[in-house]
Amino acid sequence: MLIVATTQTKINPYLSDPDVQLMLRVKQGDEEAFAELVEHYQDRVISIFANILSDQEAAEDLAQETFMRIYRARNGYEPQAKFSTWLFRIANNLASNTKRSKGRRKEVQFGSGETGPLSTRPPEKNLPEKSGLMPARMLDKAELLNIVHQAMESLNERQRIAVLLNKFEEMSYADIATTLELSPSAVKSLLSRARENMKDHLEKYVKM
Amino acid sequence: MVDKLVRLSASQRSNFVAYLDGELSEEETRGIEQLLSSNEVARHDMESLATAWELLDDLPRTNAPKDFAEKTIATLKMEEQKTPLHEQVWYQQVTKYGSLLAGVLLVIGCGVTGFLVARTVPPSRADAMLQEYELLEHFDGYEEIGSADFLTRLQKNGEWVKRSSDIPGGVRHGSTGSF
Repeated sequence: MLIVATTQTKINPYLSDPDVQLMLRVKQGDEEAFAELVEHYQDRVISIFANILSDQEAAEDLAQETFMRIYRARNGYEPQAKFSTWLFRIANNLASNTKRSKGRRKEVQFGSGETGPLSTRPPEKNLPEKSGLMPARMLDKAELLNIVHQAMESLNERQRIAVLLNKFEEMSYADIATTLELSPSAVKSLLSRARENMKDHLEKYVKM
Repeated sequence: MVDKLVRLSASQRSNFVAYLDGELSEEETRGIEQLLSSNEVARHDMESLATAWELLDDLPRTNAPKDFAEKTIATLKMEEQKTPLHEQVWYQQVTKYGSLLAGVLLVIGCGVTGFLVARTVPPSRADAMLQEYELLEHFDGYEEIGSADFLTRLQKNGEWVKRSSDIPGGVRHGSTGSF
């Protein structure tokens, strides 16, 4: 019984992740495995970046840089998390660094606090005049998308990435915690505040 | 009726999102469900949170350009070609094993050199004494006599041989025999 337990703890649980297996093949010099990984994740990574940066071209550049970092790190790769968690951690770091340098260059303000709407411009200015308090189904699709974008922009950077990982990647709190290097309870309160903020923002325009 | 509209605590509200995401323990889930069944404010909040979450489905999911993977790999290959020699994997491997081989050769070289040096060094005083052990064993006696020539001549002298044979016990040939 003891032997079984010891053997189980020795086995790396992440080895069952097929993408980890692909990455281990990349480590051995298999370029096809790397191409497979890129094709598997490219849309997902670009989508996350595009929603964070609101810039398709910049999103593609950052996604490419993410994959290049993965490739460069292949020789020292040891599976210590799911592959997707590792990938999105790199993506998150890149996004944070890009925003920081962008902020320094252009003095663009991104959300800075954990609570409250943080958008730098009043949301009303970006909305069609007659869109207030309408049921979602009655809003024009473009109008609705605009409102949702504003709701996302009202979040600070961490809240936004957590929401995107939660929504787009359907990541568990534990995986988001590993990606953002936070505790699961911190992720729970981060997401709670983020979604409360979005709800408050959306309630102004959409009848819920 | 008052209970049904009572405001929610911060911890109750913080559990709403986790409840929607299925991240609560069984006990916490039961607690939230009980609250939802008895509190209209809670029900409304929960519904609003769920609706707001559904609205995020409209966020765009972008597709990568068709040649994205191809371009990424091509960029990496170009980068590898530009990589300085000391950062390239093959060079690191050659350096690693090369230095190991050089270390082994150095140890062997030191051993051989040591052996050759030891062979050319003159024997020590102790070695010399061992070689001359027989002489040293009788050194005190030889020193007492003073001259080996004298003993040799004495041995060859017929008169000495004759007389010494007359002496009881005779000549101690051991003392001169080796001369």
